[in-house]
Amino acid sequence: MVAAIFAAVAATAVLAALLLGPGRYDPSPPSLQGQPRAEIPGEVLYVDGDGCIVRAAASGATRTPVLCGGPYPSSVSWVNADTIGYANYGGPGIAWTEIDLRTGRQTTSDRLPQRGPPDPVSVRGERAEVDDQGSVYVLAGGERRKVFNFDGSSRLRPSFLTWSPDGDWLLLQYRDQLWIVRRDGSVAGTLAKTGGNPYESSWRIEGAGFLPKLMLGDTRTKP
Amino acid sequence: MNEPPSPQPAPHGTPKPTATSGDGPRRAQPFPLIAPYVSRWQAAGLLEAGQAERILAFEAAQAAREAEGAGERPGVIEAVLYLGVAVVAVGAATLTAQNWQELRPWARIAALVGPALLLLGFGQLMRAQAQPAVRRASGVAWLAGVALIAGSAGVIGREAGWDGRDTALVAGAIAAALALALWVVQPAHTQVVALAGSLTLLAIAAGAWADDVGPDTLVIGLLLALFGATGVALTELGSLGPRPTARLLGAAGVMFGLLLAAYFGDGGRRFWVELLLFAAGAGLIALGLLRAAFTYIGIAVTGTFAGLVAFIFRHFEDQLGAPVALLLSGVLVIAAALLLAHFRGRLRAEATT
Repeated sequence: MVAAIFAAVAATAVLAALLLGPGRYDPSPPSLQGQPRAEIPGEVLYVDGDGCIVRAAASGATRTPVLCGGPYPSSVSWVNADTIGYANYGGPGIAWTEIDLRTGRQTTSDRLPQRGPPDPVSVRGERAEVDDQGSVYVLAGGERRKVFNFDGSSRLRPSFLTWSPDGDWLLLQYRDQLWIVRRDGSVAGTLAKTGGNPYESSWRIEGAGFLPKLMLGDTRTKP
Repeated sequence: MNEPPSPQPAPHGTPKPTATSGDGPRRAQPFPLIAPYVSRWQAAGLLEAGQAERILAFEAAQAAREAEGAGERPGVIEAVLYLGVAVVAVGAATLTAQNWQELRPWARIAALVGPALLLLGFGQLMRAQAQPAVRRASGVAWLAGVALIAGSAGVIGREAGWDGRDTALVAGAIAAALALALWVVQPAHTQVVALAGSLTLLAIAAGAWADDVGPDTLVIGLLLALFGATGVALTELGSLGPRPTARLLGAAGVMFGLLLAAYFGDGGRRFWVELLLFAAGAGLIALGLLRAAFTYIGIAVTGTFAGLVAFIFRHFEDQLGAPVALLLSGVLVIAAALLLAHFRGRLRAEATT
């Protein structure tokens, strides 16, 4: 009797260990924060779960909050090498605020940034694709090569966010995470677990500009 | 209430017979109260000495068994066991539901099969215990185990890529077979509940399987009624028990199944099912009176009058108008309640005479 009780408790512990360990998908590539990859160029802007705008070196070496505590940014983007911008729904309409990274000065207008869907074609003319199972492919010259094998639930597969401005890297979103994968599949890493939805991220490389592209269009007001 | 006679034969008084039918808990005559009667009957020449000894021996054994079973009030250990079973079952269900996308296919199955086997094993361990409270809890562990096995079968089917309707049918059949097997091992209230629940799942799955568009309420309802009628018949033949639970769930299956078949879904063409509902209600009332079972009468009267209200609204609302239909329905509800009160009082009176 006592042996059977202990056996049942032990079986439960084994089951729990299996479910928490090998039974759980862990498709994320290694953290770049723990092991920075110097070959990944540029900086990525994203909004974390607390609504802070974060500026992270794409290599994973540094991470700096740019703005915290204000209205929750619904969109964030580089504007130029020294300026970032974010949209928010504070006030009577959609406000677009630009921050000068050197001085910290903020300028708000009611111009709404027009940000199109992610462009799957890089500056090198290669196309990024995520299949139904979540694996990532690059199509170039009639060849389709797998650059990232996704080992997770197909219903939670990663989605393509943008190519890097130099066309050598892909930025992907998986749940609240940002992943970076090299176009030949040789390097993959998790840039950040943002705690939020980092869909509106922006990648800038010195001399190559930033992506996704952003056009500041007409004045818009909140419906 | 009759006082038991003194050891000396008393001129008046007849021992009150123990109720052997009806739904109420059977209160056995305490053994010491029976003994003077037996002595008196033996002295009067109504019983032979051997018969008297066999009666006393039988009643002594019966009293000991019932004291062991019914005399135990639920204690802390029993309550903690119920709590533990509930926590395990809820934990397994929550683990599967909340982490479905994060678990690998084998882990999804293990998350339900593991706790199910644990509960079935714990149930067997509890059955082996001497304390009645712990043995009672085994039924709850097995009940939860059956539910998790049904869920496991569903997850296995899904992971194997089976059609959802086939999977539900297989899950219902497996659960029903397991519940039946556990009832054979331990015919307790909880095993009857598990059997009824798994047969309900099987009926729903069969109804979904029979129709491409959506669940066929006619199939579901008639199957529920068939399962219920079979349960009632087996209960009255003495093959299914414990009787109070079997009667309750069997009669509920008959009446609810026929109500479902008659008035839910595409019920416009089901006049014969409506008639079957009233016939079943009448039959259960008659059976209730015959067997002194208020459970049958209560469920039959409730189901029949619910059917009558639905019948009026379906067939006569246009002629009567909603207010008159409501008026009639209200009168029927009151009549049903009064009838129930009447039958309950009558059965109680019969039980005490």
